Amino acid sequence: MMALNWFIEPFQYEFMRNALLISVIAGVVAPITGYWAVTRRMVYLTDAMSHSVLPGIILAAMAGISLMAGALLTALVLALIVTVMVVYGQSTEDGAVGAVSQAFFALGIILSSRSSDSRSLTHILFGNALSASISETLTILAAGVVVVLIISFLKEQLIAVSFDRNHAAAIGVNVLRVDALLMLSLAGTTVIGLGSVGVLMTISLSVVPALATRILGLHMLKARYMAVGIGVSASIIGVFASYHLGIPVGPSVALSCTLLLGISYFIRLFQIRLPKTVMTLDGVTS
Amino acid sequence: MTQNLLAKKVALALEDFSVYRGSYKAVSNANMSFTDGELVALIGRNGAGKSSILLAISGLTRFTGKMFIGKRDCNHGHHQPGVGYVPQRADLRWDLPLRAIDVVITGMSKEIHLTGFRKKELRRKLALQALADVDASHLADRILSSLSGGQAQRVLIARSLVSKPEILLLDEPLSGLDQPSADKVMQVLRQRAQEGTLIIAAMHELDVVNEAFTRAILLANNIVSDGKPTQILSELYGNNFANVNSLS
Repeated sequence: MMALNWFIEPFQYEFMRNALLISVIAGVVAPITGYWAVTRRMVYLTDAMSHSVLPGIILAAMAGISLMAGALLTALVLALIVTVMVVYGQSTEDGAVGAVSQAFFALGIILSSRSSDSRSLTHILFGNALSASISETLTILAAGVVVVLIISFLKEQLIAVSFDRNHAAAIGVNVLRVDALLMLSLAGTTVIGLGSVGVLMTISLSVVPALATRILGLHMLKARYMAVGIGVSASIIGVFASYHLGIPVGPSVALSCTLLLGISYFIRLFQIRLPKTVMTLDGVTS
Repeated sequence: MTQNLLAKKVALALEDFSVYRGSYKAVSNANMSFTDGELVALIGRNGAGKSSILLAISGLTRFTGKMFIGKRDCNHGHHQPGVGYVPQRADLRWDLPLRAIDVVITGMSKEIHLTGFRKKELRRKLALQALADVDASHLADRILSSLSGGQAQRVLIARSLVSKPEILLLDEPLSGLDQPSADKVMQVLRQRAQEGTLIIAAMHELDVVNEAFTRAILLANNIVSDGKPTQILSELYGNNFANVNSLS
């Protein structure tokens, strides 16, 4: 009975039910886009996007428009500037990302110091899953559905472009469209993070599950499902830990991701056999 | 030009063909014409324009002049149907958690489907057929990182064959391969050529060019000489070129 209570108790409160729901949405969507960020070596860009949304959010708050729209727009502007710098400006990708995202972040800090609502900064970066409204939850859900649809739609082309961009272009895949839609999805994921576990903590939910599947030696087509499984598990564990230990939801979910990554290393180290339904690459964990 | 020119139909013609890499003119006003079933080697030092010509024909870089594939005028400079391109092996992501057959299936990724599952069985069948064509059926389920250089090369050729190209372009297909692997790749290419595919490969292995190719084109930003490999290589090295493995 005690044990059952441990699971049931948090959900007497509506804000906890809501927190679980939006954390699970983030736990589904972030690993799906994150898998491609890791595969395409775009983790730094993803991280930069999450920092760069700050000025957009504060300006949106000042203008009285949707914070999520402000965030999405800023993330896309970052991606656009980085792309232009790389394609036309002789910049390396990580150099451009580093330069531009820090400028955005600095601008955000300055705007934030001028803004009347200074507590928002912590909420933006580390999440405010407990205070999400119904309309925010619905927006997050809608954004999540769009992002998952885009990535599913592009699956085969993402594999083709990841393996060999030139050949994909040669057979007529529109590689610029694939890249643009992936960037849009990554920006969308950042926005989902904004309303749930926080833009910074979303990085953990994006990157860690993908990394864990590589450690487990999973084939790409199955790895994406496993990544979602890990993301959702981390969200659930994080929300429970948050309630019972009295810690913030976002960091709690992020650390749960790390815990699951540790378990993946453990499984690999001791060569624990995964169930047959989880297809590995001929049992080769590399 | 080969003596077969009159007998066979022209598969590819390049007229006043110049290729730019950025602002650098890598190939300058070249004229070439190829027929079905030719096995052509592009030779020359690094930077002579071998790769640039292949990239331009496959629509991956800008060119000026005229290009005809069969009777089609292809001056738009992007994706060319009917052309299969096999890039240098080293530039690709062999670390990805994929099997050989997944890579072959990416050769059919131009059309996209919402679920990604439509025609899944058909694609698998075509991919297996292409792997069989390069004598690599047994590699279908092998993880990429476990493939040897020669096996990887054949998988890349299979990926190009799924679209049933009339023209197959290969960028240094034998580089880094040991003798048995290279022999196997050449066997595959000869087979395709006999079945009527025009094959053009950038090559450094002059002994192989001499033995296996029907035509060699020596490049140094434009065409220096064009003809039978024996004749081209004799012009370069006298009758003693068999000992020379590489120009560069």
